[in-house]
Amino acid sequence: MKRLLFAVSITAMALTVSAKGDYMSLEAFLGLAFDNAEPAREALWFSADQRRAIQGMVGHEPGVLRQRYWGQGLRTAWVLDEIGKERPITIGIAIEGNRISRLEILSFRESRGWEVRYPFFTDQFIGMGLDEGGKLSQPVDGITGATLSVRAVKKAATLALYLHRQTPYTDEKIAATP
Amino acid sequence: MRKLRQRHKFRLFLLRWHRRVGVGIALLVILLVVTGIPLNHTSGWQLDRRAVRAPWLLAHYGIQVADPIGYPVGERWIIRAGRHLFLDGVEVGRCASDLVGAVATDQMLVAVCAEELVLLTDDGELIERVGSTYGIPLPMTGVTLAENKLWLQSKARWYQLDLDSLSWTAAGAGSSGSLRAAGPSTIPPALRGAVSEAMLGESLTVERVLLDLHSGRLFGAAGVWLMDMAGVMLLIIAVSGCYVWLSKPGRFRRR
Repeated sequence: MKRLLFAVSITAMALTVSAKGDYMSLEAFLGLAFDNAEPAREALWFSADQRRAIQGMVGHEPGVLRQRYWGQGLRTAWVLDEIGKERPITIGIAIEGNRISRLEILSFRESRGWEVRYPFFTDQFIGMGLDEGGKLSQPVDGITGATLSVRAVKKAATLALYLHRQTPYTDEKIAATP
Repeated sequence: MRKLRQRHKFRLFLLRWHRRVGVGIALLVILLVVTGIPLNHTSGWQLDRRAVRAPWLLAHYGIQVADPIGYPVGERWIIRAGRHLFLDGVEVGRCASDLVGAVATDQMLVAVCAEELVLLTDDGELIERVGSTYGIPLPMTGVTLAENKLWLQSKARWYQLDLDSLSWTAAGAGSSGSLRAAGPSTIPPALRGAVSEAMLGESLTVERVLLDLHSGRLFGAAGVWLMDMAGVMLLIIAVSGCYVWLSKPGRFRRR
């Protein structure tokens, strides 16, 4: 029994340790987001109005004056840090035609909630846009025990969709389509 | 009749000790009330954010300030103390790893922490943080400006960094020989004092002190026992008070 408990504890510890870490490099994410094409490197400087809008959407101001992104055609890709409970989760989000085309967890630093990196969760965001109220257009199924991480990913997705619309890569015709 | 007299004597005994205990723990009750009410409103009154800066209290908690490291950028200073980054004496952000250098370009101030770049405006506003996500060479060990170009040192190699496109190129053997990273400098006493004060302020909050006063922990193990005793005494007062009130002759007699 003691051996079994020991084995279970070691496995649990190993799982916890392996849950934290870098899951995908920036290059790999951009390769997937732009089908291995070379996107342009861009930076979006936030205006006061944009800062206020972001505060209203995700509950806090950006914290920085400019945000890097990559763009090509109607696509943009964003790498955003959003705090789950205490540590930032680095999330890569690709947008095409005002809808999310890919969402990946690049780095996870919390001790809990790492399940958000799995496709069963991230794939829910594909095809989502923003509704008129500035919220995600479809509901997202949560994960028991990962509430804060789920909330962080939803915030990042909302933010990326909003930021995409602030760039020259947006397509208002598609956005207006119900 | 004898039983009635015994009960009366016991009632008087309780009454006497009720008063004595009441006076004895009056100070402790006042302390509990004065600390307890603010603790009930910690968030509303922002006691968890208010800093305690009294040197004797900080010394009592054994709080010491991390030795700040600073780099001059023109007439200004970028300083790291603990994990906090300061522009002159004002905190402007975090620097989780060692501060290895700082320079001022035409457009911004660049603080180089070992694991990320912190880009600031002249006013100390955070433009952005550039860390491992962007794949820049890490850990960084130095920085310098040469011919208006930003050079970063990582693992004994120099890289020229373009902050607009966020691209970097390794320096050739010829150009890297002339590059030197400046080391930290002695921080002016006034600035060091300002940083130390800011750091000390964050270490201890009013809420922490009130909690420790409330529990008696501020005075060590004896204080905790004293507060425990005060609690027991309050219990005695409550029970004896109820008994004395209930057992008053004629209390439940109909008028």
